[in-house]
Amino acid sequence: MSTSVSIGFSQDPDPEEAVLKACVQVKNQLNSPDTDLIIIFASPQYAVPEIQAVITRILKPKHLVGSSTGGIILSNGVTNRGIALVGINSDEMLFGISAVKDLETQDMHYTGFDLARRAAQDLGSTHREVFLTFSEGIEKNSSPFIRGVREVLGVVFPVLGAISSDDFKYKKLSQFFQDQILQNAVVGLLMGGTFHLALGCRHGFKPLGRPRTVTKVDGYVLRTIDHKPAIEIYKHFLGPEAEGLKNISLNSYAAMYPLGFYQEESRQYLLRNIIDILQDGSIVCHEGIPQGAEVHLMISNKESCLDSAVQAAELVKASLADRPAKLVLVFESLARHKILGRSAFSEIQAIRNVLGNTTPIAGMCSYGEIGPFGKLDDIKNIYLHNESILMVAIS
Amino acid sequence: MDPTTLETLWTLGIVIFILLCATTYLFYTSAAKEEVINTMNEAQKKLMRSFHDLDEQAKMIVRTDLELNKIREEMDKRLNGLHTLQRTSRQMSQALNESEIFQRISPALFEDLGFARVLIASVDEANILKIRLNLGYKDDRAEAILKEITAEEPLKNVLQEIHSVSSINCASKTKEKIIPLFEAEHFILAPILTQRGGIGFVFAGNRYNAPAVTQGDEELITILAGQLGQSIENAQLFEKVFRSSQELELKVSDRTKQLALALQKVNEISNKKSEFISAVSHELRTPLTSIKGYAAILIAGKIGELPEAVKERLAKINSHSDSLVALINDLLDIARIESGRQEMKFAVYKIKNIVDSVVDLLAPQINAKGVKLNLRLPQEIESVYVDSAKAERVLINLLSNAIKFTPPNGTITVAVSPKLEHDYAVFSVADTGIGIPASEIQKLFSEFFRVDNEINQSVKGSGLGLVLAKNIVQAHRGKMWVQSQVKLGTTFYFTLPSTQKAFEKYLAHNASQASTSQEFAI
Repeated sequence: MSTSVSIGFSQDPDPEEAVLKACVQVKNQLNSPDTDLIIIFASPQYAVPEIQAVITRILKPKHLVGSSTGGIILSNGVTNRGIALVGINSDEMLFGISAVKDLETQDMHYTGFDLARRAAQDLGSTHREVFLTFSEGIEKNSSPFIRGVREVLGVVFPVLGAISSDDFKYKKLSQFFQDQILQNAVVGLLMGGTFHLALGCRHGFKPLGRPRTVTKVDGYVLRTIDHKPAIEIYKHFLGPEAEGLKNISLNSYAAMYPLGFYQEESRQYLLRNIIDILQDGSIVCHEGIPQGAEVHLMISNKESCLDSAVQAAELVKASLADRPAKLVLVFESLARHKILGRSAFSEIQAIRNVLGNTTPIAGMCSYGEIGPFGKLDDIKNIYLHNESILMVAIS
Repeated sequence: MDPTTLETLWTLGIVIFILLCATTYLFYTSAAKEEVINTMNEAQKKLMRSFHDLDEQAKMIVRTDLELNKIREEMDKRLNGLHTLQRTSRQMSQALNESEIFQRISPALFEDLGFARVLIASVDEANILKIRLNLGYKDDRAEAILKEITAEEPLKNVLQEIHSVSSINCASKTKEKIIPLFEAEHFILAPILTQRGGIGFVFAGNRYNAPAVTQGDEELITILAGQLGQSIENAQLFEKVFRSSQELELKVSDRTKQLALALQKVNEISNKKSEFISAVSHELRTPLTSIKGYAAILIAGKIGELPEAVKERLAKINSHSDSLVALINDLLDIARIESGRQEMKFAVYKIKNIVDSVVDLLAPQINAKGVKLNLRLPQEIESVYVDSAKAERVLINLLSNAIKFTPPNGTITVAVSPKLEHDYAVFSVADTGIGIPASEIQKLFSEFFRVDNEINQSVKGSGLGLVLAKNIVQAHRGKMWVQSQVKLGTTFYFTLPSTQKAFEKYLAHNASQASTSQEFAI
């Protein structure tokens, strides 16, 4: 019984050449004519249809999923350009994949249900361990989606995921599914078999100023806070800079100061990024904030970002006990990457310091992370997070 | 007072007392409550003020943090830009032609700096502005920009400026032209300068909803344009040098061919000369043999007794014929060796046998002259790989010369060095004779040359002995040289292969070059 994991990466300016180089690295390490699973993490320049043809030709993957990203996470740091391939061959793991397109016209609950049902068909009666998703569109209403998935896989089944990203331009987010590149879709990867799963999730943001109350909400549109247009909270703190928030493609500053509301269940602040500002001063968030919730502007810095990454890694390590991790997938908010700037590599180094320097790490910077607060034991409540770091270890 | 009235008065008094007490109690209680309320109000006010202060502090924290983040972001951008620029510059400087330079400019450089629209153009050999890099423009739009920028007066001038212009520093008139032309609100336009002036431009910009360019961006693009100019100039210089070197190479190759042809002709002439000498010598030898034969018959008196005077003349004819035969034989040998027609019979021979054979042959002359002969043959080197007859001929010629030029009681030393020189044995024949003037040494190995001295004037010689000896040594891939001091003596050195391996090694290395180079030392 064995599982082989291989990671290939290239930054060659020509996408076809780059994917070819990454494929060769994966193939050389796996040393097998075909591959059970390939996960792609590609920056927007490399998310072109030709890449899957090259992967199919060289690695012959039985299952292929992935996402575009504004930052590729690897064992030696984070880079905003290139293509990374994670290849897995295993006789102790089984994979099922599925995809649902055109999410803006779909019912989220049914989407989750359908996605999980189709992925589960591939696994048959094999023990299921975790459901991973890469998506664009479920972030506005993730709760029914997660409920839908859990209706198929179990009410406390681990549902984890990352929202596709680009470089804050929000131009074209892509999801990879077999030989297709999808937009506005969700791709699911159900993993089962006899392996151990560990996870950790943290954000490291702290509340700022006095608490305010959400006084009016329409779904994921935050209308008023303390009976004033929701944007006033940003105007109060950012001053003239708040004007810049209207151009959302440039407002990485908004991502640096998300809103946080206190969650009694988990006793944590759940963070919400602004993704749009309406004419009347309402704020559009990833997923709604409950009416009457206590809300704060949240702040972080490099140190607290690094601390939270270490905490998440320690949760993973504790769960792994002494088992070595064969692969650690990291899904981290792109905004955190922005806060860390050129120090982003030190976060990965901090994770390696906890999990071991030889641990293979791969992942992506996302616009949202799906998972519990904390560790696998907290899996009962799954949330869409912003500004967080989610680590999933397979051992 | 009746008891009822008294009781009523008591009751009334008590009631009044209770009322007074209650009033007093209520008065004091309400005062205390008011105090508590006042205190609470104060506390609430404090709390509100604290909340307000907290908010204000938070506001300050956020704004400071925002400011710091902006600075850090700008620094990160600058560092990333510099890093990419350094990489690009290094790659550009390694390019050897203009088109390669532009191919090496990575679009990542501009993406790292946050530019979505980039146009780089430079003039070609015909001095026409050509697009070298285009990011974010359709081809026809880029061509239209080029046409307009070279036609429009203020823009045309910008290209000849030494400094770059940007949306944060240029004159509004220029800005009004650039923005619609390049469809970019935020931009940097830097000229590509060489020593002969502006040869193109680098434009980097963004559309209307993009962040403004910074001073740092402008500096980076200006550095890039400067590097481009430098690299283009270097590439042009390299091209020039390369072309010159190619021309030079071509000339050298032509000259080499000419020289090879000339050498071939010289060799052909030399061969013809050798063939001619060989033919003439053969033709001369036949009648000479007849002359010698007839002279011998006459001297022997087979035809009849001859008078003494005739006999003397015939003896002279015979003697001169012998000299002529010897001369012709030398000439024939030289011609054969030079033309490569001389068959050499190489084998391993003992040095001692060769030397002894020569000494035996010349012993009568040595004894007649009264010179002392020393032989120094080392035990370390016993044999040589030679044609023994030819090697003996070399020694005979040198030893004959030594005998000829050494006065009576002088010393001649024939020696072989105990150490090999490149696997060749070094022979020497030294005399204590009259020596050779330095001016004559250079000509010593020329055919028919004879040093002008008293001895040569009185003793006959052909001037071919040394030439023949040298040719024989060269045929063994050895070398010959001479050291001489007037009135003190002369030493001739020559080398012969010690083994077959040594000889073949020299053959393989085309050692003819080495063997023809004569070393002369005074």
